[in-house]
Amino acid sequence: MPIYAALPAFVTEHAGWFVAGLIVVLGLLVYGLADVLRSRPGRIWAIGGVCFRDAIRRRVLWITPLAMLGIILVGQFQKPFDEQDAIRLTIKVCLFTTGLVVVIIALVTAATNLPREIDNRVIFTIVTKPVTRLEIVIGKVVGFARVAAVMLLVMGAFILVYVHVQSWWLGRQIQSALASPFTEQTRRVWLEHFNEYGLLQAQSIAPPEAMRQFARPPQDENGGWILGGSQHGIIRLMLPPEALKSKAVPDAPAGSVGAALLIKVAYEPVRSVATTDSPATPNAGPQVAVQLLESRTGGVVVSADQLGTGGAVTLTDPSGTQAVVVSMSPERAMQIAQLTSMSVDVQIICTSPDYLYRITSESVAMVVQDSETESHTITSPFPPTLRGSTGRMGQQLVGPTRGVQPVAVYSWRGEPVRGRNGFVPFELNVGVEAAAGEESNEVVGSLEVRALDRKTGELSPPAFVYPETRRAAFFDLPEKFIQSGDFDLHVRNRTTGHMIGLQPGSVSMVAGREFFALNLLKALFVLWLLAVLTAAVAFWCSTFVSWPIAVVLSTLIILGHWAVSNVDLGTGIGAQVANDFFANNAPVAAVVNSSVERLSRTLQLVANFLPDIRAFGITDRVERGMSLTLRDMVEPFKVIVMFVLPLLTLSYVFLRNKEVAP
Amino acid sequence: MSDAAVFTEHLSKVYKDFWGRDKVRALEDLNLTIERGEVFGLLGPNGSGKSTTIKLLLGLIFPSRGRAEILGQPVGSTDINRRIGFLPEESYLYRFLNGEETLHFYGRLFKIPSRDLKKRVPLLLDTVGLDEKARKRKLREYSKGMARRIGLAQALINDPDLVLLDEPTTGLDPIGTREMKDLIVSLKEQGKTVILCSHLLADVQDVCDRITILFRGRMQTLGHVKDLVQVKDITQVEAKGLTPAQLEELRLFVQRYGTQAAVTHPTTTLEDLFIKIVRDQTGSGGSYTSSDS
Repeated sequence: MPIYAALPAFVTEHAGWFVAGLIVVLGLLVYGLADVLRSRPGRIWAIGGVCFRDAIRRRVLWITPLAMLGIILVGQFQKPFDEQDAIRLTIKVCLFTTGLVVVIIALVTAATNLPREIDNRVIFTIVTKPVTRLEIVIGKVVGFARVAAVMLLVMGAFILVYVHVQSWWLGRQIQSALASPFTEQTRRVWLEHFNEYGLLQAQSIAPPEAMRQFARPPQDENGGWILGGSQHGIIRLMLPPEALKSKAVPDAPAGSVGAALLIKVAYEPVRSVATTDSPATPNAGPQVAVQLLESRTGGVVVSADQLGTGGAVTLTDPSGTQAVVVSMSPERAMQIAQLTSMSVDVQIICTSPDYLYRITSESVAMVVQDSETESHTITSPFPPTLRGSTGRMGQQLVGPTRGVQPVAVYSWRGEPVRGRNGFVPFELNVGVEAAAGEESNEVVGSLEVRALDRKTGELSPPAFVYPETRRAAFFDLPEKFIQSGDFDLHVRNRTTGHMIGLQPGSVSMVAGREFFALNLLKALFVLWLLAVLTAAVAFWCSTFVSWPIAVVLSTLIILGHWAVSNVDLGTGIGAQVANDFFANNAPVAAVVNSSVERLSRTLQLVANFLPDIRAFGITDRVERGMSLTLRDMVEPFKVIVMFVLPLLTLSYVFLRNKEVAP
Repeated sequence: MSDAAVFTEHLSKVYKDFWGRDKVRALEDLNLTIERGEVFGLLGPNGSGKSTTIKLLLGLIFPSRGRAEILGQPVGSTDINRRIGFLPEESYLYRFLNGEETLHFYGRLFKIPSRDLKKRVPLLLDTVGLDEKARKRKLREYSKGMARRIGLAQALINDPDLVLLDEPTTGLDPIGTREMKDLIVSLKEQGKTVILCSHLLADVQDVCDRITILFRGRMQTLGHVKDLVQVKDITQVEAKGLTPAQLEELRLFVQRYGTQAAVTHPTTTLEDLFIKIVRDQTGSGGSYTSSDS
C-alpha cells in the first residue's frame, strides 16, 4: 500500500492500463513471441468451432426458450403507467433476461471447458498436434464468443418480434383511446405523441452543453441575476500550487493576512417587495455568504463560518454595489493550497430572498499577499456557474415568486438541426416536488419552454409541458428557432407551489431517429462484449483452479468492482462501524475502526483492478428509447481491451506452464 | 542433438502433492535411444512408468530431471508435433463429432488444405477399416473397437514420421488386432518409427524390433525381442510328415543327448485359428471393415 501511495498520480490514476499493458507486453511480446508468430487463424477457428459445437451439443440453446417463456410470464405482471412505459418495461425485462442468460452460459461453459477436456483427456489429442497454447486459449474464447453470439441472435429475434407485436397491440389501443371523447386532455397529449412517433423509438439525443439558473433571462454569457434564497453562484479561480504558498506565510506574524477574497455583488430588491408589498422596503437587508469548494468533487474546503466573515455579510451600500473583503490568515491560505489542486471554486450564497443579486466572473477576486509590501490578484477566466438549490431530484426551479419567475437555461452550441414537419422534438425528464424536499409521483407540474435563437435573438412562442416525476414528457418547438444549432431553451416553472427538480440532462433534443431493430442489435452487441469478458475471466480462472472454484471466482471478479462501488466505503466507515457496535468500549472501537478502514481501503484498491461492468449498463438507453452511439460504446470497449487482452495473455502463460495430463 | 527418433537422458518424473512434497516417483533415470525406422515396445505392469514416459515424450507433462529429444528436437516443441502421430490409451476424442468430422478437425490443426483432406480422410478411414456407415455416425455411438480405429486414423492424419501407440489393440477383436499389427508392420516398411506401449506381450512380440521393460519407474531390460525371448539352452527341430515310428525314433535319438527331451506337434495361436475361422465363414481374404456397435 505505501508503495502504491508513493507512485505519481498519473500512474495511480491509470494503474489498470499500466498493469494491463505490462502483462500483454511481457506475456505475448517477450515470453510468447514465438507462439504469437506461429499462431494461425485457421487453427484458432477450428478449435473455436469444436468448442462451439460442444456447447451446442450440451444443449445450451435450450435455455433460450425458457428465457423467452420467462419474459412472457413476467410481462403479464407488469404495471405500466402508460403505453410507452409498457414497451420500455418489456424491453428492460427482455434485455436483462438476455444479458443474464448469456453471461451465465458464458461463465459456465468457459469455466468448465478446459477442466473437462483435461479430465476426459481430449486435450491430449489437441496439445500433441502443432497447436500452440496461445491458439488453444484464443480458439476457446472465440468458441464461447460464437455461442454467445448465436444465443443473442436467437434472443434478439424473439425480442424484436415480441416487442413489435406488443407495440402493434398497444398502437391499436392508443388509436381507440384517441377516438374516444372521454379521454382526458393530459393523457391525450401523450397519446398523440405516441401515435405520431410510435412506441418503438430509437432516438439520437443531443444533450445540452450547459444548464444554468437565473432570476431573469441572462443578457450575456458572463453571469446574470439570481434570486436570493433559492439560487447561488460558483466562480472558479485557477490557483497554481505556489500561488497561496506565499513567501510571507512562514514568517507571518500572528493576525497577519495571507490572502483575501474580494466579493463584489450588485443587488436590487425584488420588484414586488419594493413596490407593492407592505412594508415598502424589504424586511432584511441583502446578505451574502462565501465558502470555498474543491473543484473536482464539489466538497466544502472552507465553510462560510470558517472564513473571516464568520458567516453571511449584510450589504449596506445603498448604491446597490458593494465589495466584501474576506480575509484569510496565512495558515488558512496554506490549508486551501494543500486541500485543492490547481483550482478552487468560490460559492456565493445570497441568503436574503427579498433581493436579486448579480453574479459575474468579476464578482470574486483573490488577493494573495506575497510579502509585506507586495501582493498579486487572481481573477476567474470563466463565466460563473449559476444554479438553483439542490433538492432530492436535482436543482430546484421555483415557480413565480413576487413578480420574479426564475428561469433554467439549457444551452446548445452544436451543428445545425433539421426538424420534422417544421418542428424539433424534445424530451423532458424531471422530478416534481409538491413542496420543498417532498417528492411526488402524483402531482403534475406545469412548465413553459421557449427557444432563443442566439444568432437572431428571436424568442419562440411558448410550449407548455405537464411533467410528472419519473415519466418522460415530450414537446416540440418550431424548427425556425432551433435550426442554427446555437440556441438556448428557457424553462420556467408555472406553478408557485411546486418545485421542479432539474438535472443537467433533464432536457434533451431529439436530433434524429433510427430503426429500433438496429438499436437493439447494438444493445445485443454490448451484451456480447460482456459475455466475451465473462468468458475470458472464467477461462482464465479455469487454468489454475477446478471448475467449481473457477465459477465462484469468476463471479467475484465480474461483480467485484460493481459491488464495491455500490457499498459506501468512504473514509469514516471504520468510525461508523465502531460507533454502531462498540461505542462503550473505546480500545475495541479503535481497533475495529482501524481494521475496517484498512479493509475498506484494500477492497477499494482491489476493485480498481477489476472490470467495471457498469460500462455495459448503456443498454438501458435502448429501453429508454435512445439510440446507442459509437461514443456510448467507448467505455465497454475500454473494459474489453483493458481486461480481455491481459486475461488471454495470462491464460496462455498459465496453460503453457500447466501439465495437462491429470 | 541426437539423430535418433527418441533420445532420453536421465529422464525422471516425480509427482508431487499439494504441498510440493514427493508423492510418486513415476520414472527414474531413463536413458533410452530409439533409432529411426524401428518398432519399439514399451512394456511393464501397471504403474511401471510406461504412460509417464509417453506423456513426457509428448510434452503433456514436464520432466523433474533429465531431458528428452524427439526427431532431434527437444520435446514440447510445437513444430515437432507436425511429425508425430499419437494414439492415446483410450480414444479421447470429441464424441459429438462423426468420424469424418473428427479427421477433418485434426487435419485442420495440421493446416492440411481442404482439397487434400477430402482425399486423405476417406483413404484413412478405409485403412483403419471404418465403412461408409460408420464414418457418418457420432463417436459417442462407436464401439470400443471402432473408437480405436478412428483414434488411429487421427494419429495418422499428418502422415507422421514417429507414431506413438498407447495400448493400440485394447478393445479390438482378434481380426482388428491382426490388422493393427499389420498396419504397424506396414508403417515400419514405410520407414516410420513406431513406439508401442502395451500390456499384451504377444502383440509386442509379434511386431517389435526392440523392447524395454519398465518396472517401478526403472528400466529393467532393453534389447532385441529375438535376443530377449530366446531360450538358449533348448534346441527346437521342426519337421513335417513324420510317421509315429519315425517320431519315436527321433525321440530316442534326442533323449540320448538331452536331459529333457520332448517330441510334440506344434500348435497354432488362438489368434490365427480365430482369423482362419472368420475368414473361412465370410469368404473374405482381405481386410475386414467395422460398423459394429
